[in-house]
Amino acid sequence: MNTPLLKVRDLEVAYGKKPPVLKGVSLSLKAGEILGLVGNSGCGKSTLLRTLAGLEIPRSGSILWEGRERVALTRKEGRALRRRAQLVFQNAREAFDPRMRLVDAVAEPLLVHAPDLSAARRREKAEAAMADLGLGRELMGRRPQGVSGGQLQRVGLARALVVEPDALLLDEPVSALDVSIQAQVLNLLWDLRHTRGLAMLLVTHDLAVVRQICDRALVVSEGRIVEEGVPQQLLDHPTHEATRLLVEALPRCKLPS
Amino acid sequence: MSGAVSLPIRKSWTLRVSFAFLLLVGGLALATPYLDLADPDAQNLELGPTAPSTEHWFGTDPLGRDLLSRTLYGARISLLVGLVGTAVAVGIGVLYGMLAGWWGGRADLLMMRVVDLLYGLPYMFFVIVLMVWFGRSMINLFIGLGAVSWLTMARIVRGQVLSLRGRDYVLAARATGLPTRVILRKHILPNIAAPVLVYATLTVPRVMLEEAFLSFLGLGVQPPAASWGSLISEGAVLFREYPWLVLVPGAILSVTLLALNFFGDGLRDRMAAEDHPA
Amino acid sequence: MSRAKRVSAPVLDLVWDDLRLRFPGQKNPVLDGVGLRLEAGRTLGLLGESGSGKSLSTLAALGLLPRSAIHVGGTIRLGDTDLLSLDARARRRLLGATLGAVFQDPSTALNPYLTVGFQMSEGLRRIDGIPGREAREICLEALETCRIREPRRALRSRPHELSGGEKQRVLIAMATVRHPDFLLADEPTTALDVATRGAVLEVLLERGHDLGMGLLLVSHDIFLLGECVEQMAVMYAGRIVESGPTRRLLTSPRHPYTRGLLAAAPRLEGPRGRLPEIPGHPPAVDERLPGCPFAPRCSLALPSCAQERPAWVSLGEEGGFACPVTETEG
Repeated sequence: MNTPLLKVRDLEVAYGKKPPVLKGVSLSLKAGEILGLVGNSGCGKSTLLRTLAGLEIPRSGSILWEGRERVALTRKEGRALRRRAQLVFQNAREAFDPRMRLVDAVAEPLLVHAPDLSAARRREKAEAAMADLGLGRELMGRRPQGVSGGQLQRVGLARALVVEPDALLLDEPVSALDVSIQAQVLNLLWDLRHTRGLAMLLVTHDLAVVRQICDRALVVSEGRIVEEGVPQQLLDHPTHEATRLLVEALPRCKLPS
Repeated sequence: MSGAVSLPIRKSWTLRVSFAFLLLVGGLALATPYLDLADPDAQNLELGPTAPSTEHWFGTDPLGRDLLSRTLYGARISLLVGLVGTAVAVGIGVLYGMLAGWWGGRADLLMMRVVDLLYGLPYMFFVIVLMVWFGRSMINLFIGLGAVSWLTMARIVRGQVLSLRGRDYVLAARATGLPTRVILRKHILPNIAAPVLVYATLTVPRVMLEEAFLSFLGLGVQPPAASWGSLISEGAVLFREYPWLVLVPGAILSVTLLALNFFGDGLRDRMAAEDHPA
Repeated sequence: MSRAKRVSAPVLDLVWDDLRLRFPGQKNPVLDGVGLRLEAGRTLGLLGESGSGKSLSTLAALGLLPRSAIHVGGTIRLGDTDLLSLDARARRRLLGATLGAVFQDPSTALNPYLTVGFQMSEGLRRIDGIPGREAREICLEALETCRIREPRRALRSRPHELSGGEKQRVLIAMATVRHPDFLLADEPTTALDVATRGAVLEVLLERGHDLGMGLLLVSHDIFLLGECVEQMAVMYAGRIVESGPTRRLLTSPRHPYTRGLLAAAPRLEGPRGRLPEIPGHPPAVDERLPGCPFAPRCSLALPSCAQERPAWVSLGEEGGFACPVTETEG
């Protein structure tokens, strides 16, 4: 645990001339760690995730993967870095091209990250990635409309995992899922961390989810990180106002177990 | 598997009838050279203009040429101009609109202002100048008509691309580092194909009408070749004496345009129904 | 605080009795025998995941079903009135005056071109014939009790000037301004920002309590309902699989689905890491089994579960459930 996998320093992101969406954000993610990013909608947590995925260009600050600056890289190195952190979306149904078969969608990242592979080999790898997550063969030729939300989120994870990343960037991965499916996906994430040593940055508004699987959590409010800690401690002794509001918003029926 | 209820799309008879009619017209136009017809350019000055008869179904024109034959050969030219002109419009419009929508921001603003500016020009006048300047050739006709018909296509495509660009699956493709041209080809183009197809179908009759107008003005196809527009133009001078010279090609042109419009509308309704099945 | 009720006769319960609905093109009914009782002045929670039919059950009572829905059987009764057989005019008389509703998405529930005050007082003015000035006072009071700051300003504003949470509270005020006997709220906080959910829920419950309304709260969140309602009904694949007092459902659930949901939800205490998950996924309407629709996902299922429709096991005051396997438990 010497160099963290990801280190973000003083990040500022803004759209056009508007005031910044993220200000002075610093964080680090260790290999194999699940880090929660919690906050209200519009607090900037999703923007942070998208910036780390390379979809937004920060105005200032630095993003270091294993100590190396992302912007200072050649195109090829940049692509290699991009492979290491894969994005997973909240609404899996939106995250797939409606006209593409699922197995082709899963194979697609290999076009970029393993261009030397033959089409047949790419397909094989995609099928293996899907099978690893318990997706049956019968799903592979389907299009996203023909698959349930929970299965589609698994396909989303398969697409992220097919390029063998070191980290997953997860944007509310369970909040659009049915209640009885949420636990399946949370368990899958938990297992992936243990079997593959994947690090995860998990964006959510639900502190109960964070407590269940995150090792550490950051509370984001109005574009800044306002509190950091072990989830249970944030729940029991929130210090910042924003954290307190999030805790209060949780339905807490204390059940006699 | 998915919970979406797919309701039976209401079968549209206009779509079917217009499609059948267009197949007939297209088939006849393709088959024309192989049919046992009179030479469309063979004159028979002694015969002169005659009314429709069993010998000449559509009658003959003042030079004694068989109007049925001329109408069918005219169909080949009219349809060709409609299709090629539309293809030119689709090519320019899709490319332009896709790039404007994808780039967004300042480039988009500039490119769309150019479209607005071109919208403001009296484009028919433009084509007329083009035809006078570069001569009345088929190629110039295609280019001229296509070049003024792409504006709306560009706007439609740009709007579609703008909304697709923010969709998660396009973001997902960008996040994996897929090159822009691949994203445009694999994820954008297939997903805008439906509205492009519908609008293209509706562009064909517009281009055909414009060709007819140009030919009517004598700026379209070169005689002795004929299109439906030039047939109407030739007949118009003698309308009082020999009305069939205008009525026959005029009716066929009108019905074809109507069928094309019905077909495009039907296609659009059908695709809208498929997009929102519930 | 609230005005005297216009009707002094005792208010009757709202009862869904064996309601069955089907959509064309599907062989199985989407609602397959829904039975619920919303008692006057009490709170009932309807728990279910998407596609379970919980929203359709609510819409049916309001007469807002999609046109294509086919009524296969059963009734929704208010006293002697069958709500499903009312004509449009009788139904209009009922909505707002007897039945109020709040839906999930407040952003589309208000007309963006009209002021809040105009939309809110419309029913009072046109139907109850209350003069404008007086109607305005009633609206002001409703907004105030729904904790809208500066209610006068809110009356004059247009929907876009309000935040999501404010809008939903305005909608609660609006749904209750004519003091209906029942309020049906379908996922009223799901579309809202986390931080404002609590406040909206509180307003909803308070308003219901103050006006003595029967409140139906529809949600996918068992803990949210656990906090808010006296009675709870659990819906799965178009049927009610368990119902009863909230406390009983949370502490000694009898249906395997209810148990599974409770076990699978992330908690605020207890062990971290893997959760006891329910395998599989909820069936689409035409994938449902003739017997118990939960059977393919149930760890206790017997071979007969897939074929035989489970009978309702009554627990008297403690509600009931539909499972022949857990019936035999002590």
